[in-house]
Amino acid sequence: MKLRILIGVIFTTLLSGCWDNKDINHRALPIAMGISYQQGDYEVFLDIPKVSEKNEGIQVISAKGNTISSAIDHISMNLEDQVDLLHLKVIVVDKAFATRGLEEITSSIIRSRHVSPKTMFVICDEPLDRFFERINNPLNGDGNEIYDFFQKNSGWNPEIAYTPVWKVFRSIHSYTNDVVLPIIQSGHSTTIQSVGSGILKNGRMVGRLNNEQTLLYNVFDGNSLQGKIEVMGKSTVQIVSSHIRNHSSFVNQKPELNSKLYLKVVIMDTVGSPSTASIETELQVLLQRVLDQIFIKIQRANADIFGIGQHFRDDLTRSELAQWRTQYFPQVKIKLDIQTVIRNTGNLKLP
Amino acid sequence: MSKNLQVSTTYIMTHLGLIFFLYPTDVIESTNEAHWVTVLFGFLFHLLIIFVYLKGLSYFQGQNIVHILMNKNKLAAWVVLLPVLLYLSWIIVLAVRAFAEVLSIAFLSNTPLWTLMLLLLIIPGFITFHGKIGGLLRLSVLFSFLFVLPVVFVMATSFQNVDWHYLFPLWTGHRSLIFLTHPSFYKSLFAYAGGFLLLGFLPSYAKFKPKAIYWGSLVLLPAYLISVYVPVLTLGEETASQLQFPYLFVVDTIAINWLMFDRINVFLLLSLVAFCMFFIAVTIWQILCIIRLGVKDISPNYLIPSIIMITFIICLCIPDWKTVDRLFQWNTALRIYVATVTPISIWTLGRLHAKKMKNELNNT
Repeated sequence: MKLRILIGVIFTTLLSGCWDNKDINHRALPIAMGISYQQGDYEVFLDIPKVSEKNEGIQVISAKGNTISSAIDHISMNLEDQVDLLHLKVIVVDKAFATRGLEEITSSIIRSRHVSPKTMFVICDEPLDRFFERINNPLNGDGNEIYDFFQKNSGWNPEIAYTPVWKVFRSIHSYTNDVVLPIIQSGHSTTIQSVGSGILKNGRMVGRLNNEQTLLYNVFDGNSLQGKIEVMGKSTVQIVSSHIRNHSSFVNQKPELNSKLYLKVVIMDTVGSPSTASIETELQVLLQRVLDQIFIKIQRANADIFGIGQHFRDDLTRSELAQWRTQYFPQVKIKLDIQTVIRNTGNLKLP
Repeated sequence: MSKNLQVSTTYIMTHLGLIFFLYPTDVIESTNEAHWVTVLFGFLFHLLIIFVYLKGLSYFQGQNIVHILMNKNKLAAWVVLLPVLLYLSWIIVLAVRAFAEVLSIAFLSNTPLWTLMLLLLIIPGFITFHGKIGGLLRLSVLFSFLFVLPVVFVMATSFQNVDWHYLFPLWTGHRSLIFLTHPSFYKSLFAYAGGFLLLGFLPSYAKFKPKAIYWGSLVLLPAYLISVYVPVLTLGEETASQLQFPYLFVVDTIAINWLMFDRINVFLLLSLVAFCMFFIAVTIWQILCIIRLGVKDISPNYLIPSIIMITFIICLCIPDWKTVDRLFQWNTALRIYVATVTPISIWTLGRLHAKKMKNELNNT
């Protein structure tokens, strides 16, 4: 009996699975990775926070290679610690790379499993070396800005697109789903500045939205959180809840989508004293105009960022659905009906 | 004393360990749309074989299948038992090898494969060795207390990113049945036929009502559906079919702000490791049963270490995932043979037995 227990204890301790473990102080844990692409070569930047008693800021290391993993291996080779991408939160790519296509990097991230599929993809509007140099200026802060900027519980705003790697992966393979990625650059008075978002079709950047359009994209896509809209010259309102109802149909063999967007807003400030009714109509006109702009833009680019094709899954066969982006999506008629309700006017009355 | 609870938890645990890895991959591979038809077909097949099997066993009070078969013609008994024995050994090898690879891909990328395989053999071996069947049955209750909560939590949260539009189209006419022609569907039956044989070995050790098993299978049906549908609803069929382990991937995409753990995959995987070890332990015990009751009563002191050694050596000979996959595919024919012939033969024997008893009663 004793022998049996002894055998059990010996094996469970010996086979506990902690093999070749590197302690945390021997690992370099980057929070952001930059990848730029120039003539067949990748340049990888790693943003590694310095771990010490005084928060000494951040260390940026870069290397070049034929593939991304070989560039990372170069860094790991020359670094005293082992690079561990487990806690990577943001991947910054330059415009050239995004236009060329994120297909390979996405599949290599998902294949290797070293990087979490929840990592954010971000497009940078300026050369990456300059971007990383600027955001890590010690005068700016502790170096975690790029991490905080995209965290929903800290610096994220509804004007910024929010797209993790797995959604990009889905967009590459899916027939009916595309994504938008945030575009940033280093700012003048703040570390980072949002300059809208890029429309990705099958993992390739094909167009851009500005900040206001991105906010409405977020609203229409059902992930609006407290976004503020400026109603031309009259007031600023804050969205407190939104809700969309879609109805899809085929009219004369052409797809048609009737969307009803219900928005509840509260008034933040006004110019002069407009009536609530006029703010409501003005808001509806504004939303209609901006969303129509977006629709025209994405239909031209054949990029279904709202997943409109999803509503037609029942009407089309699978082989037809495979041609959704090219055959049907440019023909979709989107009839948008916006209902806005001003829930309250704040602490002041309005006529 | 009847052990309904223990038997039904054992039945659930052994199956849960098999569902979340290869099963969704195979189902998604076998059809493009209307996956629920595939899942339901497999499940009905499962219910059918269990029904016939339990019905057959119910004719013999308190006898297990080795007793039942051995009491009749020895040769005929081996026609049934030998494939079962072969199938069970094959399953152990596959389960250990495949699960070690899953662990290695999923989170222990630095650990050499042989330690993982040894771990997956030694601990179940030790459980069987030490606990015998009574211990295994009790262990299943303990496991359900320890691990069902995290598994249910992960299953519930895995719905975080679903897009219900992917549910459609629900029915595509005759094309919905196209999976029947796809080999992957028959491979997916592994999750249904892997653990059912156990029920035949139990009667001489624990009394239980068939109802306990049917209730248990009702618990399993959502697990089968979730393992397939969560990846399909989150990613879409086209994307999900690219992945080696779709369900594990989807669990990796869940973001919960208030939870202090970044990857809740670990909860799922550790629970599944426990279930899988339990499955292996139960399978080792079944092999033990067949050998000791059917061939020769060798002491488990020698038998279990030798089973472990042989399995380990065979596992070491399988070089890559492709071979594992191929072995799963080759196993299909044997699996279907075992899953149909064993229940049917037990049932036929049961009918004959019942008739004989009736005649004897009438004569006396």
